[in-house]
Amino acid sequence: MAELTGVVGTAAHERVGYEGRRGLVGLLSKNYFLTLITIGIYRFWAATRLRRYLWSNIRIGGDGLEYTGTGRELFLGFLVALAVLAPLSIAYILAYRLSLGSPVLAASIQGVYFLALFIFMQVALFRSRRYRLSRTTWRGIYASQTGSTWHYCGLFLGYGLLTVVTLGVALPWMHVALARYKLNNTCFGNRSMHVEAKGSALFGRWLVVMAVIAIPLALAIVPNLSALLHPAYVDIAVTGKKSAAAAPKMLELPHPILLAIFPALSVILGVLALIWYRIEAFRYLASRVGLGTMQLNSDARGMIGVGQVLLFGLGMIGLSIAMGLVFAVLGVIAVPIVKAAIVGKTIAPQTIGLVAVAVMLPVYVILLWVIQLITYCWLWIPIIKHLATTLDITNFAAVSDIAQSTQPRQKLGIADSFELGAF
Amino acid sequence: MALSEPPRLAWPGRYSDGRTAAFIRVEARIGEDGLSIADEDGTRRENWRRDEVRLVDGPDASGAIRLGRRGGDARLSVADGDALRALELHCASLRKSMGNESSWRVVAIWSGAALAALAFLIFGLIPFLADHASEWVSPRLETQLGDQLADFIMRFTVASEDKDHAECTNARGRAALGQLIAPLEAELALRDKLRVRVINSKMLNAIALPGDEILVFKGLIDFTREPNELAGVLGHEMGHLQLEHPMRLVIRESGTAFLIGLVMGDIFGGSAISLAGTELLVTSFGRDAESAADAQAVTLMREAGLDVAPFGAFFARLNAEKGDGDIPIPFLRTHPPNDQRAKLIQAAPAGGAQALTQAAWRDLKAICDPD
Repeated sequence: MAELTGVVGTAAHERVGYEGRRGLVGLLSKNYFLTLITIGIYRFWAATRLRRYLWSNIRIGGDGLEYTGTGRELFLGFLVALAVLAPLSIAYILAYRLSLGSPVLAASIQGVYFLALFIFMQVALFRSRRYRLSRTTWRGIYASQTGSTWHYCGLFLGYGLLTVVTLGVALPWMHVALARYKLNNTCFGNRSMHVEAKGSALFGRWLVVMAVIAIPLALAIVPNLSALLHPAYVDIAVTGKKSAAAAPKMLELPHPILLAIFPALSVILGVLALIWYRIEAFRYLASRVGLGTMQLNSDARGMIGVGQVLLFGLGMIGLSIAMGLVFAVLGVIAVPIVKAAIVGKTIAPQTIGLVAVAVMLPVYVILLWVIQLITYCWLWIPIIKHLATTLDITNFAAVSDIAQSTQPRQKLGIADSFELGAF
Repeated sequence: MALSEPPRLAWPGRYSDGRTAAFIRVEARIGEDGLSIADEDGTRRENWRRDEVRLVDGPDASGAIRLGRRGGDARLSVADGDALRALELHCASLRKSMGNESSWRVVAIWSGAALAALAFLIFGLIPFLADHASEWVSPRLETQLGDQLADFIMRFTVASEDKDHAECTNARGRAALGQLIAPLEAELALRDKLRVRVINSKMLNAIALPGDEILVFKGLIDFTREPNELAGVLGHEMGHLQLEHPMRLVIRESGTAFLIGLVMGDIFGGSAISLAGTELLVTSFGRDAESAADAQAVTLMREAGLDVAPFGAFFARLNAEKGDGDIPIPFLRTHPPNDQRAKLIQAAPAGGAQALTQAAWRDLKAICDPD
């Protein structure tokens, strides 16, 4: 057969597109309700359907990505994990309880178990990415991930320790080291990605995040510091127990209003800043990725993510108001009826309870459904769309040189059993 | 175009052969022998049998579709809206899987393994651990657990206006309670020191907790008419403690709930632990355990030289005043039915002393009053 030559992608530049196909709300709704009525078992098929939707919407050179994974594979990975994890967890509980007579032994068993679980999570996340890539194709060519899970874990633990010791200052170096390892081990067909990135490049942006979190906290604490150093508070902070000396009440602090407002502000601004940082970091990293002679370039902007989170927040506030109205109406209708029933003894208390559950359960189910729709449609999907459509590929013509890899493809997606991987 | 018109059977398309990421423009044609893919100059590249053709993506907003061959990597993109209609007529397996899934046999084997592991844990190991709780759970841990549960239960049963004195500690009331407990406790062999607390709540209930602790609700004290009724109820709860029912229930329920959480995707089992706390409030220990505790109560009372008859009368009265179905709480719930319990207890030989003097009984009744 003749080799495929000649016509390839278009020009020197190719911009990635996002199609935004219809049917997302229907897909999310079906996923939600089927997962609900199958007490969670459908989640593997749900994740698969959502990925298939997302992948097919991302288009490069006129062709969409294709997700070829199946719910059955994820379910199988879950069964394997369950058959191994369930007895292990029970063994841990047994060992832990048996050793309670000796606190040192008990503490070390607990420590080992949680460290093991933590490492398992990293293994799972790395393997989950490997699985997703191995089920991602474009024009029939598969992506894949090489590299050693244990090397990745070592990087994670080493840099993680460094980050903890430096109180978070070293986080960009950790972030970049892990991303570098993952990206340098990402292949498309027979080509491996290569990335040149340094943690120091993200340090400035990370400082902004830390400042946004720390400044409101400092504003809350410093003016109240003398009062907060009261022996009673120190005792609570150190021993976790209330001491005999009565702690001053909140209102007796010099500036109670600061302590009431600024910590919450720190959390809200912190979330916004973290989203901003993640997108800015994505742009930095993506713009340093090459594949053969092709080069990626990203124009993603962190502020777009901030806007999206604010929109999402508005949606949630609106939802809360709507829920408040629903409850108010329910209350206005229900309270007189219930009162009359209790006074007249026409309804048994259990019946009232049952009716309350029968009314509240659908309200709760619908609430969670709407929250899920808002989270995807106003937060995640727009951010994914932004990240995709700001991605640009230089020297795209070279794509036709990429051939299918001859390596065998991965079998199972064990990590996806526990909803650790995002998409 | 009218739908009755037959769809065109040949369309232009873009083809990638599954070996490189390049594509070429081709003409695809569906016919009796399958889907043939040919270069624009007519050179045939591939022919996919009709039962091998799969729809791998689409139609997208513009109606374009992407096709694949079962188990293969080659792809054919067709933008012609007619193509899908034609293929649906000719290729019955168009929407079936690409054939890259693991077989159901493998899924079945691992399902079996996972189910076996779960069954072993739920029906073997967890009940075994629960039944041998006293051998491997330290008294200190039991007490901690009991205190946690007591806090939890108090938070949910005490009315908000009574939160400041959730526990009834009237000194004379406590002294009377001590008098009531002492003769019964003397016949017990518990691991820990027995602790009885009175909770300021209208619930008609008493609960035995891990760590040899009993919670008595004010509603129960209000309902009882004489000291031996209350002594019987306390004896019943002491019976549960003696037989280690609370610890067993907590282990069984939290272990099972942990596993259910694991199946539903909660790797840390955190949601399960909080669930176990409520179990003691709403579950009975089971028919046999309740009967055993009743029998234990009768034995304790008789050994202490107390009259058992009021304890039986208590159940009879409970049945008459509240009915069986009306009380959503464990101790008094219908395992076994109250009238049966009344009969069983009344079968015990009559005679015996009053547990408290009238004065002490009045003090006990007022245990929730301020000092």
